[in-house]
Amino acid sequence: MKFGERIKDLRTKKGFTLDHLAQETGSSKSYIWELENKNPPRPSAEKLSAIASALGVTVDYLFGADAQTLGEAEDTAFFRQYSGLPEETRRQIREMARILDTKSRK
Amino acid sequence: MSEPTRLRPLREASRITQMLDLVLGVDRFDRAPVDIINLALEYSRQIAPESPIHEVVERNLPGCVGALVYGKASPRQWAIMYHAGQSTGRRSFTVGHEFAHYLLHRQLIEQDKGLEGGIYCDENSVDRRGGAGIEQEADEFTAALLMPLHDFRRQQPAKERVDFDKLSRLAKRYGVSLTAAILRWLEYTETRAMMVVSNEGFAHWAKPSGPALKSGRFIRTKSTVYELPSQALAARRDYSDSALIGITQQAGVWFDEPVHEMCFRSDRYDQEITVLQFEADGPRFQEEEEEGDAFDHLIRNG
Repeated sequence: MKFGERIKDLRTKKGFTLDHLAQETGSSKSYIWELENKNPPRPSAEKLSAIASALGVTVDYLFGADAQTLGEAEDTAFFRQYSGLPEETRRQIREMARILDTKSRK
Repeated sequence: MSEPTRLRPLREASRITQMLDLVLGVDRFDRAPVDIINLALEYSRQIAPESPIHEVVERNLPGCVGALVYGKASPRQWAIMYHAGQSTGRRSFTVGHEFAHYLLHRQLIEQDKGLEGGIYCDENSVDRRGGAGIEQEADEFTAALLMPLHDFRRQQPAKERVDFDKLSRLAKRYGVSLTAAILRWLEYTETRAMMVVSNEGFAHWAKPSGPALKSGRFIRTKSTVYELPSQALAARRDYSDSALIGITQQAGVWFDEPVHEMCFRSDRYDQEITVLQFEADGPRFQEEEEEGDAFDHLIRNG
């Protein structure tokens, strides 16, 4: 999950609106939306730590390695922006390429 | 083979459309949408018997909506994979998009090391039709193949306005998502209209019809964040039946003129689709202002 998705995920799980998180972190609502949905320049360290603390996690966690379950990843994958192919996806594609090679001499 | 290295997407789509019209009849959409999976399998065997698409399969492919995959051995063998959990409509667009890469771009794969292993397509390039280069070509091909304009225009004449009933019928007729059908309509309609896809009151992207754009009706979403007007149905989270039918928004809400707005919420994709339809005669709206100015000028100068 990407940084922005992670923020949105944590925020909605906490039942916070965009407005609420914006107020908690001294940001504008549109800035929070942009962080979650687009790729703005990385926020300042100060801003990051305000967001992390409002969401009850560490800054590292916001950028952290994928700790979420595969189930969550699948839920988000097809309506969130592409974020590099996970290993499982690459494995499936390699497997298919291997099968295809067995078919070239019929 | 004397094939050009890069085939034209619309020409290829039209070639296949003519073939399908001939084989299945010009009224084929009255019976069923394009069976894109079988078409990809059969057509590839026809045009490249040594190097066909063997399979079109559903897999769990997080991060990827579809992929055109091939083996290393020569002649190359191909397969299309699509991510599980897509609606039927999205799936047909995804498969069509990968089939387009096979038809139009497989020569490039031989030349371009960057494409080694396959072409993987994300949601942005397939669903939003927002890609560039080969992604855009694949989308153009797919829209033209699944929703041929000669049939689409008969169903929805260029001068007529739409409602969600009509749009849903069109989506069903062509076996595509509501979004894909609306995008197709916006390409040729002579009405001034716009689609806005949003979530939590902010626009992901927006697309105006040609006449809407010409009259200055567009929304920037690429380099800036666009917040929907607070009276917009999507901003008010009004997803009632009356939101589906639509309401008239006064001048000043969206733009400096009144507009008919209707809104549909997709829980599955966690987004709202808003369709705006302006009054037919936008340009006259401006002329009236100019006339007013001319009149004032006469009065002032006696």
